[in-house]
Amino acid sequence: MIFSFLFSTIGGNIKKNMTDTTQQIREQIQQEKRKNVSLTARVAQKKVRLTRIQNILKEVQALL
Amino acid sequence: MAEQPNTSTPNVFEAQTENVKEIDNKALEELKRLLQANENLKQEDLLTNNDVNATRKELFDTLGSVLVKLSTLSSEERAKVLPVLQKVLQDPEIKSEIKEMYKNMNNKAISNLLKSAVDNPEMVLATMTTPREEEGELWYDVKFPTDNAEDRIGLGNILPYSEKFVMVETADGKAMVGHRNNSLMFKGELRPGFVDVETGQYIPIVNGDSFRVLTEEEYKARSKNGEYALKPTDGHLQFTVSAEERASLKEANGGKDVSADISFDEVAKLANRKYAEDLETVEEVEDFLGGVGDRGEGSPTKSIEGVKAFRDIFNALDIQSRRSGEPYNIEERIQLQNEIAKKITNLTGQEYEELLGKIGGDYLTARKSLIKFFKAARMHETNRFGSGSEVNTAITSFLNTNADKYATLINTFGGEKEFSNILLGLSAHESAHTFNPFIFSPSNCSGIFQFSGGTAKLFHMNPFSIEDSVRATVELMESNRKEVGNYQSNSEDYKQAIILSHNHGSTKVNGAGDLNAIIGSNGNPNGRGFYNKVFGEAQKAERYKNMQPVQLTPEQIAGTKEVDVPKFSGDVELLRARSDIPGGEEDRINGLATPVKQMMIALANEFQTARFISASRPHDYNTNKVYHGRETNSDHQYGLAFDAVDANFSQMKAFIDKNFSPHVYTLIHDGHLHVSLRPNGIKIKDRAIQYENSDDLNRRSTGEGNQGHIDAYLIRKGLMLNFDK
Repeated sequence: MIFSFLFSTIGGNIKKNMTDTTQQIREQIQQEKRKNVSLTARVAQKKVRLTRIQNILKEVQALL
Repeated sequence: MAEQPNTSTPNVFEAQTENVKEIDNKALEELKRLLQANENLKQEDLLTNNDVNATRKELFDTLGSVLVKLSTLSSEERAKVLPVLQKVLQDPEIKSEIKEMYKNMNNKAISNLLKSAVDNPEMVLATMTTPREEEGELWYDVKFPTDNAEDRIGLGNILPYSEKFVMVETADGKAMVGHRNNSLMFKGELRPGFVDVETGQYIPIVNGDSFRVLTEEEYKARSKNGEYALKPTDGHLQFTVSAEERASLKEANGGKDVSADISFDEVAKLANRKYAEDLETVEEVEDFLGGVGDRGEGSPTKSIEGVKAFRDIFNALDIQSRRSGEPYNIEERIQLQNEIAKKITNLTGQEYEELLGKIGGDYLTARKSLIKFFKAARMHETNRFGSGSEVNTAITSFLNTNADKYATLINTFGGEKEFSNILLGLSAHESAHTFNPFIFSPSNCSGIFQFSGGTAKLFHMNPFSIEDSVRATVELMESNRKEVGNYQSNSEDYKQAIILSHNHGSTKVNGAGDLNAIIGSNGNPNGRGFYNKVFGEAQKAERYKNMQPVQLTPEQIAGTKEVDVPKFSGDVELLRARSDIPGGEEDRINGLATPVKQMMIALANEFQTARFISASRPHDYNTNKVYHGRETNSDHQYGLAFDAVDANFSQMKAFIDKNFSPHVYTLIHDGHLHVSLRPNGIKIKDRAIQYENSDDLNRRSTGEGNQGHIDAYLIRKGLMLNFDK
């Protein structure tokens, strides 16, 4: 019983530690996902802006 | 029971562990993928940034070109261009983009025009008015929205370039015919107007006027000889010379004939050319050219700058009169002009200032002209001592027009020790580059002769007192003359002035021997180059004296995470981007420091003999103040400065421009090659905030547009020149 308890406790701890790590990774994943979303949005926004300026540039260039 | 766990539990445990591992691996894979994706996104973000900036700049340049081109278009062509331009200029987003960008533009003329257009598109657009048809003729109404517009936008901007002749109808119904003012002739001057065909008088156009375009035939029909009206040579001063005078002028002019009505340009050219050779001859030439009225002693019209200033005053009065809606009578105006000329040529400097004060109005070029008048030499900054004439003219003007205030003092104190007025004038000019006795410079020097606190104490003087300054300068020059002798020749007065009046304090050059050794045989640079040659070394030694080489701790070095710095060849070892200030780390990650780093490495390798100074961050090394986002044209922001001596700046500039544009911006100015960093290709100077110290800067500099904290250190010969300390 003692061993069983001991093992299960140790196993539990290891498992717990691993779960913690997994949890951390998951959290980091979530974080990176959020970053990904915001970065994607940012880049997309900038590209829209770029396209807009490019179009205006073309329009203005045509005046020359 | 006791054994069972030994067999079963580990299995369960293994299974569990495997399970967790599997989850872990999957998660790790995903995390890795995400990190990579985000890294790519960051790169893409940066690249897009660059694209946006490059496109924005191109747009800006193109818009400028279009605005300039407008004056070359026919009415029909312009009608096509204007709506597009209007749409673009009035777009709020573009408006803000342009506002940001115009600050960075080198071409001030275009950027000012563009600024006007962005600030107030109506202002530009209104002047490009659509004509109204009246009895088969197309009439343009002049409607400047503001006085400022009236000052800045001329007929040249309104009329297509190909259309040269106009009939102007004033509000009171008077019709005048003229040809458009040649903007080249009135570079930077008031020029909303045209030249009257009958009198050759330049007439400003103002709100309420209407005009229509004439054909050349129509114009000539109104002209006396079937030719153009006289050029508005010098605006309102007609120099009329006799046949005899003309003959000697021709001789003085190298055999080239001069027209009966000698143009301002010709006078200026002649004066400039002759000035460099012989001051007295030029004065003679000027005197016999005569001009309007008696040009007495102390007359501002004595000098070329004075002539310009006079013209501006009349122009200003003329415009004021036209604005007031008085009926416009050319003959009356000419009469008035002559009266003013007579009065003005006998004014003292003070009266002259008072007159300008009465004319008033910040918008008037005349007001600015007064400033120019005293800063004539400053206008030729790039080649300050190029011909010598501008400086001499400025100094002569200064001495002439400030006879009451300065000349007596200069004569008294200078005369005692046999220093000429010109020498003292040059000394003052070389000190502050302005003759303002109340100036306080960033280098903590004060007054017309720029005395530092220490020197002022030494001489028991108040640097803001003209009397004290002149006296102390004469004393200083006298003591230097005793020590180093007269290093001079007549044509090199300014060199003598520099040596005599600047050789003091910690940067003193001792003895004539030393001085001659420095001035030496090879080359004899002018102006700032000369100054640097004499005092540069000593000043530098003084400047670096208290600088301690900075030893980076292993932690600091580790903290920078800069592992990919290639070794400099030679004795230059390390350049690092700071990571210990807000934004610095991000810059490093975004690679903002990289171009600078690469540039410095490349420069160190390419130009082994150049002396490098690293001036990092916006920083004024005269005051040890750190500037950030300064709303000036200063290139110290995020700047690196290269020392003046021994460097081939043109080559270095070309090298940098070729390899590192647009990350950096280069400018050769004031004896230095300035290299400003432009993170993402943008020069940062968005806020007019001056920070007292680097802590303050660090604390506050996290806002948008402030990214790009780069602290570049350059270690050379074991000495770290750290200008942040």
